[in-house]
Amino acid sequence: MNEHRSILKETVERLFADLAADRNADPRASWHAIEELGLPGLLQSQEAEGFGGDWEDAGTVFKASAIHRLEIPVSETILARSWLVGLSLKSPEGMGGFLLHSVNPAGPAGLERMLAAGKLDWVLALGDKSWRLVDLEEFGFTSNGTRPSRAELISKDLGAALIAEGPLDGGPQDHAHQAALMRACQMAGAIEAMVALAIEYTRDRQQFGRSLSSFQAIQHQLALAVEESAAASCAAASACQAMTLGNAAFEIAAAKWRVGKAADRVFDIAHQVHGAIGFTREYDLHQFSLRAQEWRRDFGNEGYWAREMARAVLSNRPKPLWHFLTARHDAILAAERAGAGS
Amino acid sequence: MNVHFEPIRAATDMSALRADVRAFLDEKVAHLPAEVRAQSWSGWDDGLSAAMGARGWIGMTWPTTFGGQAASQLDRYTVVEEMLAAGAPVAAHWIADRQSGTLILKFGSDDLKRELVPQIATGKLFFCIGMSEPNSGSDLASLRTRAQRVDGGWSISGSKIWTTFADKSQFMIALVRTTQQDARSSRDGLSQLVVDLSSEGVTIRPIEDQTGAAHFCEVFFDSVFVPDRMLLGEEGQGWAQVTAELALERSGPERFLSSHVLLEAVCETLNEQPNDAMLALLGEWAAELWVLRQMSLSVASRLERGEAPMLEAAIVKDLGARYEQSIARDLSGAFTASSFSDAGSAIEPVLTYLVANSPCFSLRGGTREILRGIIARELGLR
Repeated sequence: MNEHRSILKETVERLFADLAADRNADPRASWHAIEELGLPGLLQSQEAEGFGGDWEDAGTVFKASAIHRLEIPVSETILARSWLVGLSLKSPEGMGGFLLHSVNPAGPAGLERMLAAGKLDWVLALGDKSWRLVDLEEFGFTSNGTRPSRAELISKDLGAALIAEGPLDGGPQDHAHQAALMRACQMAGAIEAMVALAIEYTRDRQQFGRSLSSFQAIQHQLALAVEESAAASCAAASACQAMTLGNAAFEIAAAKWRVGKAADRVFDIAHQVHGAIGFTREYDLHQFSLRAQEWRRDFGNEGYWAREMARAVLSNRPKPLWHFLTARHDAILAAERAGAGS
Repeated sequence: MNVHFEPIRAATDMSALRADVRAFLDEKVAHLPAEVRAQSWSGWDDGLSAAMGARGWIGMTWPTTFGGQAASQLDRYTVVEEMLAAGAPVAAHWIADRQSGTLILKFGSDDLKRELVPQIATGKLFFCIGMSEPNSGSDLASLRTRAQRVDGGWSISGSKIWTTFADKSQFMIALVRTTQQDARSSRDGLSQLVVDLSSEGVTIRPIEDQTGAAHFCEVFFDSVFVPDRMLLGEEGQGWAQVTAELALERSGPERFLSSHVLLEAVCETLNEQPNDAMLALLGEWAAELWVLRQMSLSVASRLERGEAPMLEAAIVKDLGARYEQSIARDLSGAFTASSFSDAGSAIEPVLTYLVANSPCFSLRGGTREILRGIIARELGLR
């Protein structure tokens, strides 16, 4: 990890840990602290008055936001603001979100929660061929609780709440990939947090006169969970590297698929080794385990991405899969040597 | 939780070397039937090993003074992964290249290095590893084969079992007990000796496995004389030397490419418009393969920097073995009569062979239970 990214990671982890420590904190105050760091503009170039970070920086922040179970949409805002730059729009202030109407008709998970909790000031809604930037305060949402449905956001006459709209050249495919990668990074964070909780709990908890973690049956379950977490983190980080250096459609698909698998396996193990306490509302586990399950379904579940990857592989025939994979990776490393990502 | 799999960074350009290896494979390997290529690093071909040696692809990382190319670990990684992905029968030089040569360079005397290592690099000198015994498998420290001090060397008596290709190798690096067993720790008093398998008193008996092949052997030693200069490292330090050796062989591309020939055969002959189950399976394999290679390369880049990522290497092996085991068995449950084109008739024998061979993927080099124990230990759980 290069030096600037290590500093970013440390700074962000410290801030997110502080924010997470106070569960009754005013989300507006938390958001202010995040804006002070310039994080919402992380993926905007410095020319666009942003932070000038790349996707590996973003991946670090996305993952950390989930490890510290942030309830404010820092990841979503970072991504939506970078898209607004692509649409030549100046980003509104405050907490943002986005919708991908055709890719995620039922989601994304958590958007309703954020809307309900008054944590969104604006939303960027992307349809198949058009986009809309909506001011949620103007919509009447923050003052009287009027909630826009997703369909309304993309099609209804929104009056003054409509900040801008326009055609989406090329459709929302690139956005969908980036959203899937954002979720993959967050899921890798949630998985890591589940495993950390499971290890900590089984070390502390005594049964039959010794700690749970001293039982071989438990040790092997924890080893499997650690393996899954390692695969998830490596997949997410590798896809971010590919995204920084060029076209990452395959790598993102593979990462979202692998992270989804890991989320499901670790969900099972973490809950099992916790016993009843992990099933309570009071204990923290569900804040990672249930969220990771919701995120599996966002922006393409495992079945969706597996079929996408297979079609990509088959469309490259007669080139063997092996040549397809190595050519992509060699190109990524060549781009890095050429300094594209630095 | 200190587990690190940072993606490999701007490595040296491998594309020229990769192209060289692929040209070699097109000439020497591509024409072999899929069921022969499916044997991967269990497939033996003296001729192929000699041809690889002639190109400098065995012992690549070793010093030029001992027949190597002083190449990087990543150069070697590229050659190995290309060979395995194509199903090249690399078994003859496999162990000597991966482990024995490196071990002799590290622990052998200068004379022994000059005598053996350059010959290994030519692809004509083959090694096996004598570790397991009839009553000592995963519990390696309980082994009982003894080497007693005699004039000018050692005399070995006992037996080894599950020794891969002992019948076709010229030498074995044997882990034996050289001092009276210490009651406190059975790990003390073990030493590594290089044994010439043509010596008097060596009897080798191949054991047929459930695939019908005979890769592994039982080896009996009846007062076999081994000269002093064949001792590797220090007398009594065999345990430490062996565990370091095992740790380094856990994370290479051979841990996830053992079934790759089947995967490519499926990819090649799958009909247009496959059903959803086959489509999803192909996508899942592609994703698993991509992630495992990323993880394995991450470990390789750390080995290149001189680090010893024991935990990460064990993780790659356990995940990799389960992936390469799953390919044939998941395919068994997913394909239909119309999945493959006519060329797909090649699938059946490969599938049958790999289903039968797959259990050994999580036995060789440490069982999955041993690996999970290592992971738990590295996490501080035991």
